[in-house]
Amino acid sequence: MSLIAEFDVVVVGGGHAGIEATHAAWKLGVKTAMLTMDVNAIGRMSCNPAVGGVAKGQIVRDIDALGGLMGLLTDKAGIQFRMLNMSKGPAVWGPRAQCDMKYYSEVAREVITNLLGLSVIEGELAAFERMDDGRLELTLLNGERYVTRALVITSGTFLASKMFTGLETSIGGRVGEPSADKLSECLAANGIVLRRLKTGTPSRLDPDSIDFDECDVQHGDDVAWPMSDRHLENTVPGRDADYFWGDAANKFVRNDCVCWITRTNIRTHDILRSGFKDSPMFSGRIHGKGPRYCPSIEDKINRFGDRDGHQLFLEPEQADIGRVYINGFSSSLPADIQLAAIHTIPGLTRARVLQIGYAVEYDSVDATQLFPTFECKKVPGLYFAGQVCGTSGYEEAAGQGLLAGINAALKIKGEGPFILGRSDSYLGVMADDLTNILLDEPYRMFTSRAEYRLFLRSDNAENRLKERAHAIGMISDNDFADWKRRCSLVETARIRLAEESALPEQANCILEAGGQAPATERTRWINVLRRPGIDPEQLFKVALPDLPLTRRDRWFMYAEEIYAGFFDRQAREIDDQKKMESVRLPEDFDYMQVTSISIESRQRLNAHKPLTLGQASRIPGVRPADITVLSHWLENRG
Amino acid sequence: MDSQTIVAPMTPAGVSAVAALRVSGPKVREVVRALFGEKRAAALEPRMANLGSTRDPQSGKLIDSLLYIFFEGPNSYTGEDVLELYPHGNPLIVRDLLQAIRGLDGVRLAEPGEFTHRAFLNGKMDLTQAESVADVIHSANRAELENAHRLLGGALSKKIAALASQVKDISARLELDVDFAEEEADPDFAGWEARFVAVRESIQQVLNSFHGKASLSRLPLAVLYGAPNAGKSSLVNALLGEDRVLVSNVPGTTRDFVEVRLFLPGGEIRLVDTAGIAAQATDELDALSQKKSREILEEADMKILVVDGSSQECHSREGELASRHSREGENLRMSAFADMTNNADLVVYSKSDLCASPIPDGGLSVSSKTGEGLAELRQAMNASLFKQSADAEDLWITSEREKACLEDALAGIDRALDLLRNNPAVELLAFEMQVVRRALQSITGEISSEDILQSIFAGFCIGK
Repeated sequence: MSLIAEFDVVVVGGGHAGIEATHAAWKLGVKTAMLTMDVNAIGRMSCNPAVGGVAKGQIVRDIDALGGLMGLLTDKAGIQFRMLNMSKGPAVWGPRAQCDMKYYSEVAREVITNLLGLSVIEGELAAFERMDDGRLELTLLNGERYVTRALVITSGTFLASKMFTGLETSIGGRVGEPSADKLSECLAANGIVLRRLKTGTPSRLDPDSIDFDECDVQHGDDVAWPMSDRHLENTVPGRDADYFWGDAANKFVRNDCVCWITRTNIRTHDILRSGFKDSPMFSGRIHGKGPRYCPSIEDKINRFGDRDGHQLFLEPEQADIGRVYINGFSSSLPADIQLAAIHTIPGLTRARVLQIGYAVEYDSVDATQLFPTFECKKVPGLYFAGQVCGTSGYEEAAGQGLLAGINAALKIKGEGPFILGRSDSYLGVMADDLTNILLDEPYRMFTSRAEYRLFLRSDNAENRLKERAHAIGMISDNDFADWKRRCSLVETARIRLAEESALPEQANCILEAGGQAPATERTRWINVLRRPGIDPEQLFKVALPDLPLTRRDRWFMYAEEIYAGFFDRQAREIDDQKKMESVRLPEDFDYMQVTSISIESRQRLNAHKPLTLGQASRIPGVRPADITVLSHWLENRG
Repeated sequence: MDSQTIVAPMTPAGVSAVAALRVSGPKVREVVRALFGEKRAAALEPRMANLGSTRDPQSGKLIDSLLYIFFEGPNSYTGEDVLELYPHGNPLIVRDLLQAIRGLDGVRLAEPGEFTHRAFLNGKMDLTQAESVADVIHSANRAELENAHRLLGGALSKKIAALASQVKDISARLELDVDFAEEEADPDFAGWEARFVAVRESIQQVLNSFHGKASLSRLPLAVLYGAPNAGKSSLVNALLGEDRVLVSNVPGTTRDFVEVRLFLPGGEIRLVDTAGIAAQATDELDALSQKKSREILEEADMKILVVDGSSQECHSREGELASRHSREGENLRMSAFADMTNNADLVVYSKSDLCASPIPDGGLSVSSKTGEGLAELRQAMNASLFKQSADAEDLWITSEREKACLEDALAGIDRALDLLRNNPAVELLAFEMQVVRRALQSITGEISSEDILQSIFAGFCIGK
């Protein structure tokens, strides 16, 4: 068939990675197309109906500060908002939102299909081929051909995917959706190393068959923390968020839905055990490695058999409940076993299963074959992002999609790569980890992966990233001006706290509520704010009642104060690292010529082709001494 | 660092029967060709001793005929190709040979510690092992040597790794609480203090084991003292087995103190024979030498009081003192002497061949003439002066860098304990435990920096 169209960037897939990649490339002004097997599946939530959580919520905040869509989509489709870890310090708070997954997908589809000049193509990519001019020629399963300068593959779990429930196996990446087998073959033919991974999902129940009275109820926070700040307290039209919320629409999030909590018991476990012999995991029919941190219920019982019960969350899939997702009960045991086990759980004794739990096994790309821009080292112009890179989670996928889309567009525009560091965002940590470490299980973000955790917070995502996002064009001038106004307000507030003093009776009311020794004389507000245990909200109300600070601003100021001493201690380390990141390594460099580095390290460096000295230093097996040698070597080379 | 070939002598300057030089790097085969000719180079076999003669490339004069051994990388000390040369130990020969090798293109003199640095870079040893190479070479006594060998074998790395894994367990528990907020994992900090204190104690224990590398001036010091003509000098000679110290039966023959080196089973010691401390100085010179004797006694690791066993007062040294005391009257210098006497680590009764009566408990009866009691004296000195390393696991650290890392770890655990008691915020506790973990890991070189490496390798002597 003849050539249909030419593009700068074609994004394959319309999931969370595909949405961000498409939007970012479009936003940066290159000719972009999204290729999806099913337009109606854009933004579909394959698993749990929630976005965010500890570390994942920080990722969503990072994405939002960089001008991505996930925060806005979540706020629009959210039905219950909770800040996790609020009993702990603000560095480890994780915003999370239950979403109406049907609405989420609708909003995402509407946004994508309305991007001016964007093409959305329905079809399945069968093969790509590099042309003489460096562009890629794409052939779809139906024979259509396209030419593109960059290709971003966000195929999720759809590469050569198989689903398992007990002894039953079917082909497909999600219930009712096919597998992309041809693309998997094409990747392998291009020399790209693929690995089998596994994930799973629990059963979905009919809410009319659940006795919610027998479950505990979990509400959202009294006041919701939205994911994005871009649609709140805006006064000037022409913002990035306007195509979500319009100019005059209610810009506040919905927070009135509840979840329910119940528990498994000994009987549940006994029934599940009776099905172990038919488990595709235990019987070895699934070869892919599953995530240890998100184990199936049978895995939990197998490994922690002595526990008398495991907590389960019943989450509504939609505002009107729709189906109920059993969080914590992912399983690939035979359907009758799963059903019988569900019926032993309080509240679920007569539950009707609308969709039984299953495991998915799929091909993923070994991401050490990618640069931290997510471009493939072997095939220039080919990018991968999302679950196909071996991660799990919507947020991780979206973050990669954003970075891949940005970098694909920047390369076409002839601009330098956009690489975030470990000290400036969770996205930087993730990109660095994925492209350096050979994963043996799906990768999920944890705050403990971030060595600068106290600095990578949900309250300072804008401070960390906004400027850079604006510089490349991901944030509009209007939004940036808004942000600058917010910054100067916060600075005013900070100066006032440092200069103005609290009367003893003002300070003592706050100090005593926090269990702290009272003050006997006037004290600067900033010193009261630094005392452990006090409630900063109470302080701001008394100290700066006239300033229109947002809640995020107030907690940002508080966090900066209580962690200041720790930042100072890490500052030199961060500086050193930034210096290492700024030393670029030549891409065509043959490390075998640096003979004073061990052969093993030279081989690893050659295989990884790190972009910077900093990245080289984090390749497992490459020792600090090798980096010292390498840096001297490069200096001497001129 | 570069890929040049390096050369240095392995043996100290000076005359000896045989000297040794080491060459390491990519040009080793070319060095063999230049020194011994094309045929020898072509027939080069690893780990075979070869005899060859080499000539000065300029004058063509014979430098020496010598033994050489080739080690093929990576199976060599540095992991690179290595050549070891064993010429006759004449400094002129060593110099000429060195010049001949250095004159070749791409070969230069090694920096201090560079061979070991390369061994480290090429993965032949870890950081603590590399550091202990210098210890093995410079150990001044047997216990230190054994310690250094244990370090070289990776014993410290193992000990620190065990400690780091203890810390890792605590970190993991904290991280679990942070990252799995909904997993019913809230820690009860009540029982945590004991865990933190246990880690603190382990770190403190390793830190306490620090003592610097022994240098010659810090050899253990034993001092013999006592009244004039008590037989101190004869005892020194008997211990040395030679007439090293001038002996006479005239009291006060030893005017200044005399220092000798003595080898005991545990290693080398300094043994000092002092001038006899008498109640009254006979002249100004005597007063000066007695002052010096007291000074050296202050420094002593072991004070050995020598009492003339043949004199009538030998049955009680208190008696000896008391009688002298009453005889000479009140005397400040004398009371200082009495203090020192009471502080003696060992009392030796000399001239046992002349004394038949039994000696008090705790004393040692020795005859310099017959050799009686000498073996016991050596044993007693050895036991007192050398750390007993009966326990093979006993290990102490010798590097300032390791000490600094452990101090960082200790400071981290102290801050963590403080937080636990006053402000148990899990993210801050986790931060401090990360500090502790990294400090421990930087000992074994898993996490390191350029400064560390440079300071370590600059501390090496050339050619090691």
